Amino acid sequence: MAGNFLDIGVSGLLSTQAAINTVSHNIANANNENYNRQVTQIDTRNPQFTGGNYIGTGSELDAITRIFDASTLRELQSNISIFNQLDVYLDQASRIDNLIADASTGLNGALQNFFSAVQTVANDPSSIAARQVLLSQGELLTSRFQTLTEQLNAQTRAINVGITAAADEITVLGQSIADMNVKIAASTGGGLGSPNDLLDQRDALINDLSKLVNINVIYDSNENANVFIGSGQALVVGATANRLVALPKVDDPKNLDLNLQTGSASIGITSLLNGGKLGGFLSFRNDILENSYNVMGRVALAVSSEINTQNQLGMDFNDQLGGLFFRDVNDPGVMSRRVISSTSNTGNASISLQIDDVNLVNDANYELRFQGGNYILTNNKTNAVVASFPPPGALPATISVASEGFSVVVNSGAALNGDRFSVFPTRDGGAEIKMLLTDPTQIAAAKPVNATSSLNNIGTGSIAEIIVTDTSTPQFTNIPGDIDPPILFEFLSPTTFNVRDANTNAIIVGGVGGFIPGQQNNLLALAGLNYGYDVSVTGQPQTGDTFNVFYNTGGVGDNGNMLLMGELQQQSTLDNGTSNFQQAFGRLVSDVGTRTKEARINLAASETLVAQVRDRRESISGVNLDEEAAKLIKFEQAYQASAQVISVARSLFQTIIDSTR
Amino acid sequence: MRVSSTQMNTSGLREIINRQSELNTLQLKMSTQRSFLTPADDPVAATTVLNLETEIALNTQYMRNADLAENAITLEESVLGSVTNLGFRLQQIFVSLGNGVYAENELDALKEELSQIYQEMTGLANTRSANGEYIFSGFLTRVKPFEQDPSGNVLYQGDHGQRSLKISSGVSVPISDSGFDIFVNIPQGNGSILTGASTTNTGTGIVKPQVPGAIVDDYQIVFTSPTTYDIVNTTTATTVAAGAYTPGATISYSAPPENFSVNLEGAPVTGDSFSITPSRKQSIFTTLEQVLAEIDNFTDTPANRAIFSSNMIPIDRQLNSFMTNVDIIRAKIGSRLNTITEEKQTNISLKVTQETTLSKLKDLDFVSAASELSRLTTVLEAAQASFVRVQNLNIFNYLR
Repeated sequence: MAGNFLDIGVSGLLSTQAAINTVSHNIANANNENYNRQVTQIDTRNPQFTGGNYIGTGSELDAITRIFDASTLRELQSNISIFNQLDVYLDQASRIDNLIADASTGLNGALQNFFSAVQTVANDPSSIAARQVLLSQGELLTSRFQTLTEQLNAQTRAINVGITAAADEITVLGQSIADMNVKIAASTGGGLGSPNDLLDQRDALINDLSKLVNINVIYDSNENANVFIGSGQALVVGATANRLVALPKVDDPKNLDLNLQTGSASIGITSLLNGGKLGGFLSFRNDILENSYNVMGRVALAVSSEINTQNQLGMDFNDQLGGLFFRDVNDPGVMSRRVISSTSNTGNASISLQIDDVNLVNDANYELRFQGGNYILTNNKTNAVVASFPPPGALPATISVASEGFSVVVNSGAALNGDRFSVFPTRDGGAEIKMLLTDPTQIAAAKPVNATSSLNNIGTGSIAEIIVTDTSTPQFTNIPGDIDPPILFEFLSPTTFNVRDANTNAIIVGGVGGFIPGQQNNLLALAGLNYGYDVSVTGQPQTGDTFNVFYNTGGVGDNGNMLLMGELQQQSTLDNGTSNFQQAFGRLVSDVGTRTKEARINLAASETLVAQVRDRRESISGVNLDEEAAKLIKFEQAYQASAQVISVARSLFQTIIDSTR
Repeated sequence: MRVSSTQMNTSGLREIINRQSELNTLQLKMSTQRSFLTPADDPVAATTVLNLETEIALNTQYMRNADLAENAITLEESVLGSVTNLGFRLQQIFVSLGNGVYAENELDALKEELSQIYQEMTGLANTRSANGEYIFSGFLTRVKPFEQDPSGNVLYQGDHGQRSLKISSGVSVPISDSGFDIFVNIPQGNGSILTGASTTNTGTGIVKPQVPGAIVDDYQIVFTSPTTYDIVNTTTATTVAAGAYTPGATISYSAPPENFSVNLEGAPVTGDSFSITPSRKQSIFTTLEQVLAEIDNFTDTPANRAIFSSNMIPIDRQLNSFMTNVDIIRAKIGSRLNTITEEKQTNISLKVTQETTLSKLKDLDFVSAASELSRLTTVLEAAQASFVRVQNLNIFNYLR
């Protein structure tokens, strides 16, 4: 009998020891955030049937289990995923947010300074100094566009680095989880206890993975964690892990695509991924970065196109027609850089894009596909097909897409079915804007045409306005620095007139009627002549009155064209006549600001959610040192008691041995 | 609820970090004096601020333009003031000339003064601005507008250009008038017809234009005898009417749309002729040159006195037309100055409104920021103190 309770005492010692071990393990891991506290379950040993009674035989260690709630962990992972996505998104968005609205880095100041310089030239058109200032402000404006673009480029590069790093890390984590699956499978089943710490480690890896991308984990009957990303693409299945690889997009090498490689097969899953840092980078790229490029590029396009047009309608200080102020928006190089052929194309079509009307151009990107023998152009923002046309016969061919304000130009070659082209009408606008004018005298401040009434006029008719609409007509281009022919209007009656060539006196159009005395009358329009300019006469001319129209030679004091250029600042030249330059850019500021603000609010909410779920997990699985201290005291006392049992057993034995001596 | 040790630590710490972050933001706002730091803090206000800043900058530009316009107009006005004064002097001289009481030598003295005025007027018409541009040559600001040709006549070299400046969104004011509009575009005669006596007249007939009248062709009244005359259309070289002459009576011709009437007095003789031409445009300089030529040609005979009188009548009217023209232009200048003053006032009050709105949107409310600062500081201190106290509570402290 005595041997029996010695044994019971020993069993108590052993099981209490195990319990103290567990408490120590808990204390040691109190600050391990992935640790699930463990508890020792102590059971009674099988009783002995002696003399019709069951006699207890002591305790034994039944199991060491971790206190763990699978649904809380799942919730935590999904919240971590959302939190990290928003965190990255907000971090990236804040950079643009700071950049675009700041007076020293944004566009507004530069635009304002440019137009102030335009007005200064208008105030004093013959001052070379004022003209020089306008050139410098033009340079500053283009360099502001380029600096802003460069900032966006830097962010694109940073995102690419982030995406690559995240993809690599996901691959490594996937491999580690697969390895853990193998270890855990080897340590479970067949009466073995639960490998608590291995399970904790695997959970920690899965938590780390959910920081990078949203995942779905399914546990199978062999305790394997199978991890899926995107819309169910397997990253880890049992002991096998697939690789996530970031590669340049086939139709836009500046940006990266994500591919899941299974053995030798590879599928693109960029559009399917969400959540985590990776999701943050991708959604920032889609929501903000692309749009920022396009909005800014479109303003740059509008500025260069409108200023160029206006300068070309004027006459410079050297009595020549104005030229290009900025690089032509349809410079051949620029046109071809707007379209990128996919590297997987099998045809050899060379495509470029020509801007026709900036007013109609929107800030979407497009995709041009060749399918079923037709080119099909799709707006990526609305997914609407905006044009569809068969391969043109004679090349190069310009196919106008009037609704979008541009034309697709097929330069050479032919596309084959399945070929794709990415079309970026506005994206590179900010990078491509460049000053062409270097000589301040080439700023066209004056209008190229002037008119006078004759001294012999009897009536009160006078020149109201010169309107210049197009200086590429033969009347302007036949003789450089002159109009061909100069015109003489000769009134035959108060309401009719002849249009004469002032050099030869030959009648160009005779007996033009419809002149309304007392109103502004555009004489060339009345005569049905389209010379690229018109002369507006008001008042009441009398029979025999004449008006001379001639090239504005020497008109250095004329600021007519500069005034019109100054008007462009507030003219609604964008968005189908609803926005001016600054408004179009201002929408980017408010759009990015709103998105950043939204991300900030969502991040704060998500942070609270993560904290709550983490608290819940801690509440269930975390170590409370006071609790462990209490357990320690309890087990210490139990251990001492069990030792006392052994001591009693020893003394009882001694008693028996002594009595038989 | 069961609380883990890590949880006590992290949740306490989390709140401390949150308070620190809020304090940091507030501190940044206070040191930059801005109510928001990035557009994300207040996207609507940020966009409005951008627009307001643009408008304020534009407004400032417009006020600068208005000052420039005012300078240019003031210069023009002062020149035209001098021109008017010269005109008054001319009117006095012309009145004296019309009296016909001067002998040849007295006329020479007047001629001296007229030449003087002619030179002064040319000088005024060739005024340059501070930056060396001729203010009355239209767009050809580098071309001297009134130059004498080899025969001594002052001709206009400029064009009809008129420069404008924008002084507020939607309002432009002209800041110049061409020499053509001021000095050249003056109707001859009475504004409808120009009358004159032939230099070969030997009678004493004096012609005066009457209103109304409107003609396109040139006409002559040719005396076929001292009491009869023909009206000849010299453009078509046809005699269109004939009549009997009564001294002091009005001779009218009407063949719509052509019609005129003149008053003829004195005693013309056979062969004398008087011209009636449409009122074309003639510069004040040409008019002065004509007066000087009339004085030069003058010899004191009855016939010459009559020719002189006939010719001085339209010249006097031309001077009046010129004076009226200058007055009209000065009135226009006055109204331009009014426009500028008004627009400047509008721009100033607009700027005040814009800047007030901007300040409301952009500038930090210091009182509430300061009270927020003291509140946050108190909360942070409390959080820190309680954190330390709670962290010290542990059974292990008592296990000795």
